[in-house]
Formats: sequence, C-alpha cells, structure tokens
Amino acid sequence: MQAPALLVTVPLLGALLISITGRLNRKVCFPLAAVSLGVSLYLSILLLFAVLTEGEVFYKMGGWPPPWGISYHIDHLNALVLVVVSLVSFVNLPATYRYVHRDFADRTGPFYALYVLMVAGLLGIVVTGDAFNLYVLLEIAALTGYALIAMGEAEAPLASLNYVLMGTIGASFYLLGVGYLYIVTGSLNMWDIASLLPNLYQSKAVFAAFAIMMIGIWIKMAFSHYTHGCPERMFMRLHP
Amino acid sequence: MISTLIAKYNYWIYITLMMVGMYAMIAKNNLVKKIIGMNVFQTAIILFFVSIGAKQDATIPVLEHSHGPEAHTVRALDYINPLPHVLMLTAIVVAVATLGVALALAVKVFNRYHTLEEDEILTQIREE
Repeated sequence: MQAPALLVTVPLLGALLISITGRLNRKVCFPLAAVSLGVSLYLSILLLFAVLTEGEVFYKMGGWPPPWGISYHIDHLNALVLVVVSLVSFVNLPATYRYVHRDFADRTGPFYALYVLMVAGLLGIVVTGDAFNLYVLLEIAALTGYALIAMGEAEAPLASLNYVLMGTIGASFYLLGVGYLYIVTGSLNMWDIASLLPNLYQSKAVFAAFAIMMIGIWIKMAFSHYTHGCPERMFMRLHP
Repeated sequence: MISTLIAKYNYWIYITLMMVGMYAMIAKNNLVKKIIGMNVFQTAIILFFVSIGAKQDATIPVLEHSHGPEAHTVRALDYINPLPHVLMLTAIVVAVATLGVALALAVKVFNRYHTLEEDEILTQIREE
C-alpha cells in the first residue's frame, strides 16, 4: 500500500501545480486545491481503516530498511490525527473562498499553493518516523505559515518577521537536540532511537539533547507567555 | 580545565557563534541585523553538525579502489562520517529559504514604513 507516501506527495505536487497554473488561469486554483486536499483526506481515512483492521502501518521510503532509509510509521493516534488535520483543512478550504477572492483577487494562486503546501507539511510531521525529516517538514509548515501571515494587511509583515525569528530559534534548537541524540545513538530513526535509549538514560548528552529539543519545541508551540502575543496578533490580521 | 577547553574547541566555537547570533536577534534594533543574527545562529548549528562527523586521520567518504583482495574490507575509521554532512546540505537549503522569506518580509516592512529601525516602526504604529 502506497498511501503513506501519497498522503504527503499529492498535496506537495498539488501546490507546485497550483503555483504554475495559477499564473495562467486563476479559476483552476481552488478546484486543484480542493482535489489535492480531497485525495489526502481520502487516503488518511483509508489509512485509519487499515490501522484499525490490520494494526500499525510501516512504510519504507524507496524500499530502504528503517535504520538506513526514512520510514513512515502510522499507529492508531497518528491515523486519527491525520484524519483530523486533513478533514479540518479540507472543510476550511471552501470557507476561505469568498474572503480570498475578495481580498487577494490577484494572489489566489500563491494563497492556495501555500495553503496546500502547509497541509502537506503538517501531514508529513504526523506520519514521519525520522527525526531529521521531522525538522524539514516542521520548517515547510512554518515557512508557509510565515508567508500566509505576511499576506495580511498593515502590521502583518512586521509581525510575520518577528515570528520568523522566533520560529527559527525554535526549529534550530530542535535540530541541535537531534544532533546530540545522533552523537549518542548514531541513528535518526525514531524507533531505533527509542530502542537504543534505555541503556543510555544516565548519559549527560541524552539529558542535554532532551532539554534542547524540548526548549525548541516549546518555543515553536508558544509555550511560555513571552512568545504567545505574537501569533495572536498575526492571526487577527489574517482572519478579520 | 584548559585541556577540556582545547580538546572540545569545536563545541565552544559553535556555542559562541550561536550566542552571537542570538544576541543580534534579541538586542539589535535594525531588522536586517536581526536577520543576519538569525543566519549566524543557523550557521552555528551547521558547524556543530559538520564537526561531529569529523575523525582524526580520516579522508573523504569516497571508497578508495585498488585491485588487491584487501580492497574489499572497508574500515569505517578511515572515512569521515558523511551522514551529518548530508543532513546539513538539507539544513543549508532550509536556512536559505528562511533567509529569503525574512528578507522578502523586510522589503515589505520597508515599503510600508520607509525605515528598518524597529523603534521608529513601533512609534509609527503607535501614532496610527
């Protein structure tokens, strides 16, 4: 079954297609976005049923076995989150239609391309089983988010720039933590790391890795009150 | 004390660079200087990853071919670890993309406020 790979690839290619055809004909952007999100919704529901009937799904990218290649792994929680993410993004798409065509009439192509690309990033974050791949997908979702926020009016670009700086610190700290885990375990595959770690719990490098990774993720999550003002201000700009 | 400083000099350099970048991001008033700080911050992490792949007396990770029977055994100690370097190839691409987005946003900010100094922008926002 190729569903885990297609789940991410279809919106990714859809975004590319939208940004190309959007220059020629603005009317095809919305249907293309709806089709690519619809396909990923269908695939995620398919995966949910597969997980419910047959148990967890492992997918080897390019046929490489897990410690070497990137593996996608879908357990019960992942499948549920996949359905939620793709369903919400699919249902939200028609809701943006009127607003986008009124306010960004000349930028519908970029808007839908970014929207679909962001969903691809979010779905990828959920399915991936590789720590570094997670970083890349995190940045895909984050960069499209920065661009979407900057499309708003007035202070939006400034708020978005502040968010870029904050988000980059968070993602970089996460990457640093992955580096420390790689030094200790020599692996980037999450299940490989999980099987190697119990013997290494006393190691200071593992503590450092977890501390740094959690700091990064917390900054990304806007966990502390130092960061929370910024996304709020931006989303208000994006959705009046 | 001195020996730990010198033996792990790559870590000290990356931490120093990272803190230089972070200081620039937090303390500088000019938006372009903040963006430069962000790039220094990301470059520090690239330096960290590249340095953990290095080994003493090792060469680039391309197999040395010879015709004898000993050519078939690969000693991992003779080659530096290519994986962190390959990861950083991707991280550099991400860093460039982030830099591009940040600079594009800086252009947008400049077009609106005609300045890149953060305090001047904030006074303009307050006056509106």
